Amino acid sequence: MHELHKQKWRLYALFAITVGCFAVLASRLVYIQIVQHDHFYAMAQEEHWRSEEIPARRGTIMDSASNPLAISVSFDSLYANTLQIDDPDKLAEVLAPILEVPVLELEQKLSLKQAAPVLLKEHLPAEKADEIRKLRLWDIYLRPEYRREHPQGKLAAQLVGVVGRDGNGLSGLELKWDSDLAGKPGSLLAERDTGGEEIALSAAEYVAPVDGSNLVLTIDRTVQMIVERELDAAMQQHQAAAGTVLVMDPYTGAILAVASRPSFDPEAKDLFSAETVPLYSIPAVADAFEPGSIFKIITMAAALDAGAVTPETAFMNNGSFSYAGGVVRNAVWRAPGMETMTQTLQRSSNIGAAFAATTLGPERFYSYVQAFGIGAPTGIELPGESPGILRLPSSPDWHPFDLATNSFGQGVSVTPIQMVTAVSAVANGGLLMKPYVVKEVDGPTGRRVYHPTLMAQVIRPETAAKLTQMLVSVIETVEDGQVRGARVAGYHLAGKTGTAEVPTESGYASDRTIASFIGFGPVESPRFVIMVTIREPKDTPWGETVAAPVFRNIASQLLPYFGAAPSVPEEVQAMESRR
Amino acid sequence: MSSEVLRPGLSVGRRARTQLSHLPVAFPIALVLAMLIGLLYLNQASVVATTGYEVRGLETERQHWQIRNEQLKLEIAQLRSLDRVETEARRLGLGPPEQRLFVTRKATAEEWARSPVAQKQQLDRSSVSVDDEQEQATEWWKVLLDYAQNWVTTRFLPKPDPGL
Repeated sequence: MHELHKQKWRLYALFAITVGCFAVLASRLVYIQIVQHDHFYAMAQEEHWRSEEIPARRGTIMDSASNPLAISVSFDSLYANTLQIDDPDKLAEVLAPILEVPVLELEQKLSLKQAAPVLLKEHLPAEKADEIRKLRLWDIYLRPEYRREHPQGKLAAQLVGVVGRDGNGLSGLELKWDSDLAGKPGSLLAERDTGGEEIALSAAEYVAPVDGSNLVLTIDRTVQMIVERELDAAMQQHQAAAGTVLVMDPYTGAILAVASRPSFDPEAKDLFSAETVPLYSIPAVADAFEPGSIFKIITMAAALDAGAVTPETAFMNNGSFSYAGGVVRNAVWRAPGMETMTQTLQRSSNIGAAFAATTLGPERFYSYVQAFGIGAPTGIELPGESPGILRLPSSPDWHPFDLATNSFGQGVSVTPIQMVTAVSAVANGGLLMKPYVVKEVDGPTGRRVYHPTLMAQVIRPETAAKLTQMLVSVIETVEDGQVRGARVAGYHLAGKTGTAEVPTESGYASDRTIASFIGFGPVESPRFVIMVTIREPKDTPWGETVAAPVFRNIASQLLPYFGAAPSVPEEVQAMESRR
Repeated sequence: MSSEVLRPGLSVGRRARTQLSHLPVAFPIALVLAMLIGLLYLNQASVVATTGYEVRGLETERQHWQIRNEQLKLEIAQLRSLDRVETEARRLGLGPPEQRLFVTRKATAEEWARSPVAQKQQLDRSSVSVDDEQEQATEWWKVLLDYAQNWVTTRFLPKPDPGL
């Protein structure tokens, strides 16, 4: 009886334990299935469903003839799911000769045990990608990724700009027009198998990417190439610190070429290095400098237009000019006696410019200078545009003597784009055109075309014509038996040299200059305005010997390129027969 | 003896027996049907999965050819770059012209529209102020008045004696 009772007890105990175990399991099940339902549901969803961003193609930047300057191209990049790789050493030995990567480096990458895919090699050439594909390896895969390419090489590198590793614009047009170029990435939310691959024909949510818009520039790549070559040659010849050339169509304000040195190679490996990043800016719009004598064009335009002087107005040039407690002298001492306004430009007389400005008076002088766009950004669609510096009579730090110094481009700073815009107004008969570099934006959202914008009539057409003739005489007058550096045989061109000392904290550095030249042609129907700036040439400081020849070399190639017939064809033929 | 007949035909007992007698036949049929349906489903699922992976494969191939196409376009652009064209031209013995001959011809309407002179005229027209327009209008009336005056003079006023 006692034995039976004992057995029953054991039975009860076993039953109780079993029930208890089931109860624990049931409660755990309830906890997991009901209490923690959302958490585990989310985990399962995350494992089975994965969202992937589909990058949008960045828009192409093209020159005026639709030649690509920057284009996004897909290349396959090789990734590995390292968690699934059993023998990384063997795999490394197979891949290393194809990828042209040391075996050891690959082994290290393949031995990394991480959930995220490991990048083995970026942007493979098509042949290499095909070789990898033929291997039919499970644990590695190719994924297409965009790379920004520059088919024209270094051409217009600063203008086009740089795209960062994250695909966003960092400088130039890539930065300024980033919102248009970037497009909108899409996404794919799809069910994945255990290997992370999308399950075929499973339910998926696909949002297509919207590609970026293409930019068509006003830049002519032939003009750009000519400009860059001549600038490079001048930089080398004069061992200069920096240089900028800008070419504009005076009738439309379209920028035809813009180049600066030093520059960078957009395909170089050190593109993001500390030495290269400072070169990203576009000096033609960002660097303001004291223009020196090229500013006399604006002074003379103002004085002529206001009727303060005529080309024949003469004054006594005895080597110095006193005004408002200061004395103006020429760069090279000269006291030629009576001097006309035309001779003022031909000889680049500071005294003559000061005479014209003071005859005009500060109110009218600064009113004209502002009308020409000096002291304010031009509004060109490029990043980092500087307004320059222009002190007005209303400014507390303005001194009456500033009128005299400003007249020949001292104490005022301008950007090359401001000067080119202002001189274009002289070339086209007095119309100030807004400079622009993007003529068309073409994308999935539509097409926008930018037309020339007339900002103001700053001087009368007659004034522009008179000043043009004066500037032609600057180039065509033979001084001391020497033909001027900017003269192109057979064509009438107009222009002005400038040699400005570099301002320092204690005054001006006499051993460092900015040699410049600005001109246009042919004067009968100007096709271009060219501005050349060479900073700190080592061999000779003068604009006449440093910058004017660059203008001549560029102009002599652009004139036939634009189909401009020579005004004096015999001169061209005579010159060519002498060769 | 009262025989209980529920309805004409079979009694309850016989009907149940008849239904049970169908069971050995119906059950295997149902089983076979279920298996067939299952097999059909499996086959369809397999075909769908295979087709799906084929579609994926074709999509990957399409993507591959799209990439190749893009890369070839890049290659074309690189081959058309000015540096490369110049290098090839020099290799072929070409160079800058030593002498130029200038020939003038009449421009077509399209060429004229593109020319700087036409652009200048366009700009001049767009920059004409209101005052200029009034002045132009006055000039137009002046011309008309001059014409009228001339007409009256020649028609109604006595002609000068040719002998004088």
